[in-house]
Formats: sequence, C-alpha cells, structure tokens
Amino acid sequence: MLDLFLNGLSNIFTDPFALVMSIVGVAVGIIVGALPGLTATMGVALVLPLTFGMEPVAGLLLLSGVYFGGVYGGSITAILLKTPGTPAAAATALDGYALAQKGMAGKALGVATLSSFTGGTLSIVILMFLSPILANIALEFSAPETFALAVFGLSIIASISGKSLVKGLIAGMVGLLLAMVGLDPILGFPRFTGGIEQMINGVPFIPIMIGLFAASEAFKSLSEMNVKEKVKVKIEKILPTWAEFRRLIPTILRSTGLGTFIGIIPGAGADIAAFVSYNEAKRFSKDKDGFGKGKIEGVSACESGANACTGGALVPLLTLGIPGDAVTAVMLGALMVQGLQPGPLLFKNNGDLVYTLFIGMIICYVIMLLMGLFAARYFARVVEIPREILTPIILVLCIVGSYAINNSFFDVIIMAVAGVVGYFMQKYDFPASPIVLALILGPMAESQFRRALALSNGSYDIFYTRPIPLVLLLLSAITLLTPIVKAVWQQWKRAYQ
Amino acid sequence: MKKVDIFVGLLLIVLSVATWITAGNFPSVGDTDVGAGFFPRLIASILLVLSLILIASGYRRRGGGDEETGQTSWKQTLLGFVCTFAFLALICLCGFFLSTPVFLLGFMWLLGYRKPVPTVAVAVLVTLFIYLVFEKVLQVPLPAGLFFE
Repeated sequence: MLDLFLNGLSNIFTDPFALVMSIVGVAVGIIVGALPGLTATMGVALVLPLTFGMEPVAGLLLLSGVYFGGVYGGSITAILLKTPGTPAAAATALDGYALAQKGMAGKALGVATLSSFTGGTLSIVILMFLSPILANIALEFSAPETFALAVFGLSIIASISGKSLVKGLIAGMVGLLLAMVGLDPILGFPRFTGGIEQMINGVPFIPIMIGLFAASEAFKSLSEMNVKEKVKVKIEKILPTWAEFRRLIPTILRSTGLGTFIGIIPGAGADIAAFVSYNEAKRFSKDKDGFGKGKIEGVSACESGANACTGGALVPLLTLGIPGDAVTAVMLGALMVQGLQPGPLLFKNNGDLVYTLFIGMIICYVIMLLMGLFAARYFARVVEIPREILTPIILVLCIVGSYAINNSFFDVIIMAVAGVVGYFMQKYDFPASPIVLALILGPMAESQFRRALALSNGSYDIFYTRPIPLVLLLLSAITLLTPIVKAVWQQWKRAYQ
Repeated sequence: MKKVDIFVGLLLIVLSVATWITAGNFPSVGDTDVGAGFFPRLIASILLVLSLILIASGYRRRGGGDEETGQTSWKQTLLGFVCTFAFLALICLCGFFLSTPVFLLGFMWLLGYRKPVPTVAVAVLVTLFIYLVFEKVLQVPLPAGLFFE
C-alpha cells in the first residue's frame, strides 16, 4: 500500500497537465457551485465531454475538481447573499448569513473553507483506506451478488430521491425500460430499437445525463429570471484564530464521519449530509439557541459534512461500480469513456491509477483551500452575471458537449429531448436521478440475473441460499415497503382514533 | 384532482402495454434463460401498477386545478425550448460556427438583455472558445451544415 501511495505521489507531480486540470476544475467547480441554480452535478455533466481527449488521470481530476469545488462553492453565496448556490449549502446559509449580517462574513467564509477542506480531505483518506478492503470483498462477488447489489442501489435511490415514493419508483422504472433498449445482453437480440441504427448499443446515456442535469436546469432558470443580486457585504479578515479553529475540531470530525457515511449509502447526497451534520452539531452543543443566529459551529458542521460526502460517495462507485447519486453517476460515465470499468477489478488492474487519483483528489482539496482563502470574495461576484447571458451559454455547451462524445447529431437530439422532459419532470416532482441510475444499473441487474440463473441451471434458489444476495434483497424489500407500511399505518390510526 | 398526474399515468399505461406487447415477440433460448422479453415485461408490469396508483392518488387529491407558476415565466421557458430546437435546425443547415453566435445573440435579445457590447462580446467569445477547445485542442470536428458540406 505504501509503495502504491508513493507511486501515486510521484505520478501526480510528474504530470503538470493533470495539476493544471485540477486547478481549472476546482475554479470551474467553485464558480458553478456559487451560482444559484447551477449544481455540482450540472458542472460535472457539462465538463465531462472535455475529458474524452485527455489522459485518464487529468480528465478524472478535472471532474473531481469540479465536483469538490461545486460542493464547496455553494457556501460562498449562501453566506454572502443567503442564496445557497447548491442545495447542500442551504443549511450553511442559516448561520453563515447571520454571521455576515453581524459583519463577520470573512470569518464565516474562512470557517466554511477550512471545514470543507478538512472534511473533504479526511473523507478522501477514508476512501483510500476503506476502498481496497471493500474491493477485495467485492472481488468474491459473482452474478447473484452483483444482481442483488444493483437491485439494492436502485431501490434506495428510487425511494429517497423524490418527494413521493410512487414518482421516484416510476422514474426508476422508466429508466429501466430505457435501459432495455439495444442488444439483449445474453442473446444479442435487438430490443426496442425502432430500427434506429444508433440505438443498437442502447440509449446513449451521457447525452441523457447532460439533458437531465444541465439542459433542464437551464430551462428551469429561464422561469426564474430577473433576480438581480449584488454582493454588498464587506469582507474582513478571513482566517479564524487558532483558538476558534481548535474549538471547531470536534464538530468537524463528527460531521466528517457522518458525511462520509451518508455519502457511502447510495441515494443520500451532500444536502442530506449537511443537514444531518448541522442537526447533530446542534444536539451536541451546549448553546443550542445560538444556532441559526450566527454560530461558526453551524457553518462548520454543514460544510465539513457536505464535503465529506464526496469521498464517501466515491467508495461504492470505485469499489462496486454503483454510483450513489447523480454526480457519481456522471463520474461513472467519465470512467467508462476512459475505458475504465469501475468495480473491484479496477483496483486489481489499475491500482497505480487509482492511487494517483486519490493523491490528486487531496491536491484538489488543497487547491480549493487556497482558492477559498484568497479568492472567495471574487468568486462571489459571479452572481452578478445576468442569467440572460448565462442560460444561452449553458445551452450551447450542452449541445457541443453531447455532440462531441460520438460526433453524432443524434446524441444532441436525445440530449435536447431529455432536457425538455427533465424540465417537466422537475416541475411535477418526478426526480431525475433514478432514471440515470437505472440506465446504469438496469443492464447490470439484467445480465447478472440471467447469468446467475445460468449458473444455477435455472433455479431461483441461488438468490436466497447465499447470504449476501439474501441480505441485500431483503434490505431492498424493507426500503421499498417501509414507506408503504408507514402510510397505511397512519391512515389506519386516523380512521380508528 | 391533479390533472398532470392523471395524464402522466395514462401515458405510462400506454407505454407499459406497448412494451408488454412488443416484448412478446422477443426470443427465448434454452431452459435456464428467462429470455429477452422477461425483464421488459417485468418492468412494464410494475410500471403499470405504479401508474394506476399515480392516477388513483391524482383523483383523490382535493382542491381545484394544478398550482400554476407565473404566466410570464412559463413563456420564457417555452421560448427556451423553441430557441433551442430552432438552433438545432440551424446547425443542420448552416453549421455550428455560424449558428452559435446567431443563437446567442437572438436568445439574449429575446430574453430582454439588449446591451450591444456585452451581447456581441459574449457571442463572439463563446464561439471562439468552443472553436479553440473542440476543433483545435480536442480535435472534434463540429457540424459544418448542409450548405457548406
């Protein structure tokens, strides 16, 4: 392990292009994150097409930079303007803006930056130690285990990503149907292609991601036009004192643990991590009433929790090939485009690359720290860019990006349709991420299910006589049934009381 | 009553029935394999049940029509759809590098942003940026359009 680590260190420092890409990525990420309405997912989806021509390390670090910067960037506008740039920063706005109004905007920004950095870096360290262990376990997985894993991932994502369970499940099922398009994985029979040649290899999922996560957001921002904002707050000294920081350490460590754990669970992302960390910090604090009125612990908890989520979310992606949320789904697309199949074999076949990436990710966080401490006030000014300029540019980038993947105009049309559909889905509370995850997990579930049956000579026993599939399938059933049982129970209680 | 939910539910029922019927013609080989039609049919039947639940809960919901957002904002989004698809058509005809500045200028103008210097600057710089990054660095030839091919 140590030699892999040192190898990674020397790899990254002999690759100036990758370092430059990390800097570019973090800067783009912070800008995207700071802009209300643009999320880290959108940033990663828009930048993804640029990475095709690059070496894997440079391309993936560019995307990681956008991802990390995007999660952090939301806090800048949350603190200065009370408009959280990303959903995850909504909790940061509670105390951050209160601090800014007390004239302590600089300190709030400093605490947010330091906490994001610490939480993020520690989560990458956890990722570094935890993922080889998990990958080793997953190496033993055969078809029934992988099938159960895909079902488990899908069930969690469909049940927690939306406001309504039914709508989340519908999105998941539509995604699964889309995943069935193309050649049958076992028999090679073309399904639902409508005679369209480009559909033989399935629905192109990167254009769908760009459409659902970037174009639809651009369309949505059109209906929220004309919000003029200006940063008026004066920013003084940014670094907190050592005594202040030392007091924050327990909060940061607790939030990091929570954030990393929440990140590992499929379906829960940075926004949930931020809110849970905030609530826990409040619960552990002696001064509960101070929260929401400008407490640096509040800012610190949200930011370290949200950024710790990044390392956590990468654990199932890299070790199992299961993306936990929308951002990591896009990252999975990027890995596959580079010819890297995430999963246990990635560690076996590309161990060198994986460790180089880990080191690079820590470097991304260091870059983020420096940018946050020295340039946060300039990043905050991006909100002054009028939406009327921003939205057309985003749409152009969506179109070029989806074209560049395969040099295919067909992909562009798919992207545009996905953008329109995605807009209406958002408007009517259908979550988009189950569609994308189903596109990835659907083929995996089907092929592994049928491979498992081939192993067992057609007997379904194989799914419940082995421990891991049994546990995972039971967990999926519990995930799906709990909300239903809860709803029925509440109705029953109302009727008989 | 939630009209949208009912409409979406009906649409999805059509989709699942169509899937079910189409998947009936898919081959199945051997004794152990469930065949190419099994998963599509399974998913279609789950989708059918979910659509029925969606419609039922749509009927049950009390209180008038759907909550509508402001009329003007809806117009802006519709404008966005129209401009985007017009842009795609234009790319097919005149190629990417002619259409992009036209789209950017036209769209910003239609959205009500009409300061001449920033709009022209944005249109030119964005097109130039894309040209450099995609054509020069990544070497992706962007569509030239029917007229120039």
